Amino acid sequence: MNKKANIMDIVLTPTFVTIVALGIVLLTLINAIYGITSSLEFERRFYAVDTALLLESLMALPKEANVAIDYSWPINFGLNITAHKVRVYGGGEKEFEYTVDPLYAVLYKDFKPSKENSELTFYKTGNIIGIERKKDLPDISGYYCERQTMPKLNAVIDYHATIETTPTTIMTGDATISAQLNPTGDKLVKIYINPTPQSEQLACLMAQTFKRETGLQTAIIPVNTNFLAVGDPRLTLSTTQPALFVLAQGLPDNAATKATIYRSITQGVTLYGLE
Amino acid sequence: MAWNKKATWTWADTLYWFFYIPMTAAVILTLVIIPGRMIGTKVQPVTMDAAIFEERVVQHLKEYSPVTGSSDNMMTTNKSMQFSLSQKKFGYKITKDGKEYYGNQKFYDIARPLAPVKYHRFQSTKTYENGKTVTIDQVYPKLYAKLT
Repeated sequence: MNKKANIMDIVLTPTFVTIVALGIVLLTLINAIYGITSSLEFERRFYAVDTALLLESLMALPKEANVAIDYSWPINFGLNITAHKVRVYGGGEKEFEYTVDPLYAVLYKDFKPSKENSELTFYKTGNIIGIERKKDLPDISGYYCERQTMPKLNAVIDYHATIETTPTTIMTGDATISAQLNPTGDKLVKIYINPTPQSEQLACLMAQTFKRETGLQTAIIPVNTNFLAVGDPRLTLSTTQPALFVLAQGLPDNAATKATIYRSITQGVTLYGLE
Repeated sequence: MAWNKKATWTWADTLYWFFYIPMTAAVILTLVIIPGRMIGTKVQPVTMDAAIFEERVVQHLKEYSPVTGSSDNMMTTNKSMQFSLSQKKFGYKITKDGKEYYGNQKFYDIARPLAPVKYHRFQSTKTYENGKTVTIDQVYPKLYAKLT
């Protein structure tokens, strides 16, 4: 009887315990291996870091470059862009941070996990960095404007002026701005300037507001007034002070259009700064 | 003899409870934790981050006109060298026209003497076409501390 008990004690019990222990070990390992291979943690981390670095890369481009980059996005992940932070979520979440150049505005976005987000486009247009679904990508032709410290304008805006099909003076003083509507030709806003840094800056800010207000293409054109014919309305640019002549063409001759043109011009001036 | 047998079992039990079982637990934990940690530390693009920031500073300082675009001259007017920093651990010193501009100066001052042992340091100098130069000195941790 004692002998049997000894065999139970010495052989069977340890064997049983060992088998159970090995079973637990094996199951834990298999579970861990499965967890690693099926884990989306690495992918979430990768996409968070990659997105943040892509945003920073767009801010490292030459200022005049407008760029759109298509990006295949995993549909089971959401993407949230806020100040300094990229968050990738869906079954867990990972974050990575990015440094902002105050000259750029990063448009904050939140894309929830969805099939519609399989193709995202990162873009830079002027001073704006954004992300949008490829199908919703806005027109990315825009002007980058430096925010340089320039003296504010000691000028007067004529608030009673209206844009007409003949040249109208809108601002006088340190800077001169005239404008004209031409209902014929391609839809385009031409901003003629005399070649001074202040005129360039003012025209740039105006081009941005035109883009925002009307969505129209704009062109900043420096003019050498020595080559203009007598009677050319752009002769108002023959001054050493900042001077602009805005020609909005291809737009309907109605009150709403005139008001929009006027608003875009005055907003550009306000952005530049009046004394 | 009986005493010896009892002593042997006591030792065996001690080994079992205090050595084999803790060792098994340690091995399991190691096998479970290490691969996860390795995956986690793979995404540490410190070098790329530094290269991108350097290019941003170089572009930031280029002379620009909305009519002619960027030139390879450094702009002559004063320009803010302040970037809006996140909580990401890195610091920099930009030297331009004899003036020094810092980002995360506290971290930079601590980390710079400890590079390259504890931190990565990236230094570069860019000379623009108009002869002006900018020196960019950055320090990063070996691993991003805020990578959650």
